[in-house]
Amino acid sequence: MGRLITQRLLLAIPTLLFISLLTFCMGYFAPGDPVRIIAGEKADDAAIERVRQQYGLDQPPHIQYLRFLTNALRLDFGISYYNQRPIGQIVREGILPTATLALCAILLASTLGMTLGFLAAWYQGRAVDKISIVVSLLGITVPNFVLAPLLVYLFAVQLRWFPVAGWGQWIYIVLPAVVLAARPTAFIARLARTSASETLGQEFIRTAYAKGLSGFQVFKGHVFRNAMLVVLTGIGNSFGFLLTGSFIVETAFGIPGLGYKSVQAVLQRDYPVIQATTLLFAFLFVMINLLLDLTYSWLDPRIKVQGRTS
Amino acid sequence: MKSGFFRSLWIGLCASYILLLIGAAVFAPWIAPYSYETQNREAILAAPSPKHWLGTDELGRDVFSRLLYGARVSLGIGLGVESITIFVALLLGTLAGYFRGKIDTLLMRFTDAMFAFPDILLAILILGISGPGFQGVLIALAVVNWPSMTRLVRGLTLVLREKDFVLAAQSTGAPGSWIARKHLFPHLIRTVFAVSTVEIAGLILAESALSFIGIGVQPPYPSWGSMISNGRDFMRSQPSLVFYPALALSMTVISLTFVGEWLQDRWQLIDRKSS
Repeated sequence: MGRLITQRLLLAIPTLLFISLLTFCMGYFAPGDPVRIIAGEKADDAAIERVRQQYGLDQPPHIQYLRFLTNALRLDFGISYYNQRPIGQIVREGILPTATLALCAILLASTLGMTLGFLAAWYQGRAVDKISIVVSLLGITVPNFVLAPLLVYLFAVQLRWFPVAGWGQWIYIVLPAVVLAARPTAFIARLARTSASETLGQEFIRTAYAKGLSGFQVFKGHVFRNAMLVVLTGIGNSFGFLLTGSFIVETAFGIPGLGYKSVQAVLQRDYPVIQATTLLFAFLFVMINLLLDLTYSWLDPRIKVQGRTS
Repeated sequence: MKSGFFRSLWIGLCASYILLLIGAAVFAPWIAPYSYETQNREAILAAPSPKHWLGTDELGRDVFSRLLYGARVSLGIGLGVESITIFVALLLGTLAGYFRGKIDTLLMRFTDAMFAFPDILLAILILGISGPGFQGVLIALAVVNWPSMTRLVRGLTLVLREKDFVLAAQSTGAPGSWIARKHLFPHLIRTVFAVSTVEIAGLILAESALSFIGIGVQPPYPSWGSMISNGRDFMRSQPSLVFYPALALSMTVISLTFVGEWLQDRWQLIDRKSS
């Protein structure tokens, strides 16, 4: 296991370096002179030169990149062009809402998706199965920026159960979490249904019944455990959706998370903030994938170390 | 949808909708009763009427006309990005699959790294440099979209290059470019076309998503995504402002997906028979 972890960590490094290089290039080639923005409108030539040296912006690109990299490791991304605040602070404020939302969504999606999927497989061809098929079809085809206004209209405008938008108390989390969870739920339900019904057709299921186990015991001991690995892959892949969704859902509901902040940064041409959020998102993404890979091989030792499992 | 007749009917409906939409997009300036930015101050947030078929928005602009112009954005981005993707995929994919070696390794490593980078992040990063707008979205989505199709073409080429007709052509001394033109492309084109149809649906969704969050096509030009986003403020009085663009978008995406998957099914059958 120790060897596996080291190997995976080492494999993640080139990916992270590639991503950091891309983000650095983006800032390097972005129009406008960062020095003028840091020094302020009224700065004279000498002051500008001082700032340029102070931030190392007179150095050749590869030195600047190394500097960018070491600063990024210390979570130091400079200051925002837009409101001159330290970016580390902006990012730290954004992490909590985004993480809370993502966590709620993934919990909701896993419980609901697994329940739906397993029920559908167990009662194949019956009403539950058909409902689950319709739900997953809707969850996959209705984009979240259509679902968001729809749910707001129903539950916030008409029924007034939840607030339209905002952030603060728990009640603000419900609608965005549901919107964010829709697609992963559908995805997980589909995976759970397929893998569980596949397992149910195996011979050892018949054997288990033959030796007198109850339906629940068969499900717990054989179906659930076998399907879990596939479902876990689904949960892992859902993090991609959560990431994409967080930009849309946070914008739609006015949640001051990382996604919302990066969209604002694009609109304000606030390059260092875009760099910081991109790098952070990418880092989280790579790390989550790494953790999942390790979890698979822990759960199923048949999965070998080489290459990606997908 | 299993029965043959109903499936054909459904696919026919989807295909007609797509053709209708293409027509509407191309001829929007002639079909649309108003321009996308003409404001009718007398009719703000008006209900549907003979004058404004689907009503008007908060600035008194005709929703039906804006939907038609929005179709131009959606299809323009979809077809534009997909054309770039197909060009790059056919060029790099066949090169890497046919010649293998260093190009192949480089392509595989590079696309691996691209896959590790979530699409939306890369798109936002690129839009950060280029700035929001039609052109920015086009570039951003093209950069994000090319790797998967290129990998597909490469994989297909790997199989094709071992086929007898390619080996025969090689043994007669035919140059690689000729083999690509005469033997590889004709075999690839159907798969590429069918997969593209499904991909265009995804691209149209991506464009709408970017416009929804405000970093896509900029006002006053309409995009279905930005129309949905604007309509949210008038949910109480005029929910149709969200409903119509959402409907147009969903119908487009569903039609393209069904037609694309139908093409994949159909052509794979023919391929299996003929080989």
